[in-house]
Amino acid sequence: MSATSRKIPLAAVYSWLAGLLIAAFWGALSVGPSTFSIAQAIRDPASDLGLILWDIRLPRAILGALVGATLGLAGASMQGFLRNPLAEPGVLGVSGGAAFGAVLVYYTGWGALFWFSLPLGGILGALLTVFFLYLFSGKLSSAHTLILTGVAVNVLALSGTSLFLNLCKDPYAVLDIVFWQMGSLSDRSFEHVLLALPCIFAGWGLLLWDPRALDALGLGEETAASLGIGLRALRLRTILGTAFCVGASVAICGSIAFVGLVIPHLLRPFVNYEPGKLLGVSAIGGAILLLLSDIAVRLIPTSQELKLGVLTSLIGAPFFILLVFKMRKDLS
Amino acid sequence: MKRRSVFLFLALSLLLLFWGEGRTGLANEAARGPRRIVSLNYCADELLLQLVEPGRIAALTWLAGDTLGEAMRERAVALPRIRGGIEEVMVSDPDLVLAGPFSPRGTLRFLQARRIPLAMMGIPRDFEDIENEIRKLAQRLGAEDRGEIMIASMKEALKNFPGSEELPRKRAVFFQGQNYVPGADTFENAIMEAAGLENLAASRGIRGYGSLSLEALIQMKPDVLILASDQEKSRTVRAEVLHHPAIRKALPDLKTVVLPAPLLHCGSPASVEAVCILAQAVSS
Repeated sequence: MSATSRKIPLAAVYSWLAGLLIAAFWGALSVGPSTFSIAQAIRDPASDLGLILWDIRLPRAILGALVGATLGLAGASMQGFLRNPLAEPGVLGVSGGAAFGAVLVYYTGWGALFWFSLPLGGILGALLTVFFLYLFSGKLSSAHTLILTGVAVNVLALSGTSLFLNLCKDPYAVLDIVFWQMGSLSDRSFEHVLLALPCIFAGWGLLLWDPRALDALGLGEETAASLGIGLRALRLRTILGTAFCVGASVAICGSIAFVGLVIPHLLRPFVNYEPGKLLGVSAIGGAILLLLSDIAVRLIPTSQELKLGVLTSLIGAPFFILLVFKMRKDLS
Repeated sequence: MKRRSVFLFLALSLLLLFWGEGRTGLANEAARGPRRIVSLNYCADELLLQLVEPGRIAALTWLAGDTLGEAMRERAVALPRIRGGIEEVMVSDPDLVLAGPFSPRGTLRFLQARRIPLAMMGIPRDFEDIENEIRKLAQRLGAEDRGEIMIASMKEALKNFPGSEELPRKRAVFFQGQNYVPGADTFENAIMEAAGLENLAASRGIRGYGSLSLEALIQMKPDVLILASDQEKSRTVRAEVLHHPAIRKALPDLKTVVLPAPLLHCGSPASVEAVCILAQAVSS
């Protein structure tokens, strides 16, 4: 595998992914309940079509790219740091924790306290779960025990979320469970983009700080330490970075599972199985996958638009099962 | 042991029977018709309270009193209110149970097996349906006179509104959370028509409740946007679409009317008030 992949230079991989990303972004802008030419809408931004493009579809596409990239990047860096191929924000319960934090803030009305409070709730929820996972990641050295802990964290977060929504006075709050569990980009506006953007960028910055540290870690902790890699700093950056970008994404769009699992796996051969190089390409790949899923939910004719997580889980869950079988085979 | 519990049960029901008997200040009307009426339907609560003396009501739903005016609420709150489980209904010892399409299935099957009289309420789709519902229920309760008075006053009140004759009609959308809109054959549609509005969702071919995307809403350019108060107040993700900045930008002249939700939950004479609010808001 690596012999063939070495033939592909990194620049070529990036330009392919960039091309796909532009196409997916263009597709996300063109697809919707009403059909019109984008050129026409750009020419006349004050018309209805212009408003639909600029105020409804553009923020949606931008959020799709941001959240997708976040999930892909977080998945790649969690897999790299934990050296566990099944690690992913959704599977390990980080998204669930973020949703719980966001729900606490959103429905108590604390979200109106200051503009930043909703993403902050998501970030704190995510931070709590990531911290918990990394705390045990040393003791739970086996890949399977870590995943099982993630499953437990996920269930705990989900039941907390639904308990809280059921306790809400607003009778419609319960119906939002689907949103927090499955995620959606529908009818999000630029207000949402601006809310999520700073935290997402901060998280990306932390995760992409020093990609080569992950490569060194791939050689083992002692080797990495001997190469001068500060493991504690790397751990802190990974925890905070994941919490920031995943927390803010989930607070705005709900939790969308499996993007962070599928994308790093698909792209790993193209970057010669180097965890450091995987980060950047996984971010772009995640954005592409989420934009394509968001196009699909708008094309599938259902009376209510499908939630994004429905689609990503339909793709991701069989993939997950396949990986588990593969791991078993490798072990035996 | 078994015999003892049967005895206990009998004693309890007898006690309840006498207790109920003692409480009912029998009006003339009540000489015929059921005397221990239990309602498992929120909309039936409202009609029941207006059609019979409170003494004939054994229980209302736990939601009773949310819709009505102050006087009616007091009457409702004074009565036992239940959630509709089998045990609760049996303890109320009913001789007539009013139920609707959303009443607990298990309870209804149990009542049918026990041959306890059951009256099913429909979901009115227009004001004529309401008339029929009232007439049917009044007959069952032996309160035909009160029923006819209710119907007559509702008809009288409805005469004050333009209805569908006046042209050109203003174009309206009743927008609910998560892009739900009522189309033709819904009670919301009847209210809009009675207030002299064109329901754009119905014109678009939506029957019953359908969904209308934000993009379609902007392109239809409605004059009036109707929101139910509970949806408008609701701070949930599904209600966020009602406050999307694109609506404000694309439709700066849009008139937004908020209707009190309790007037919309049930098709009943109280819903005339919703027509009134809507007609006034649109004409001003």
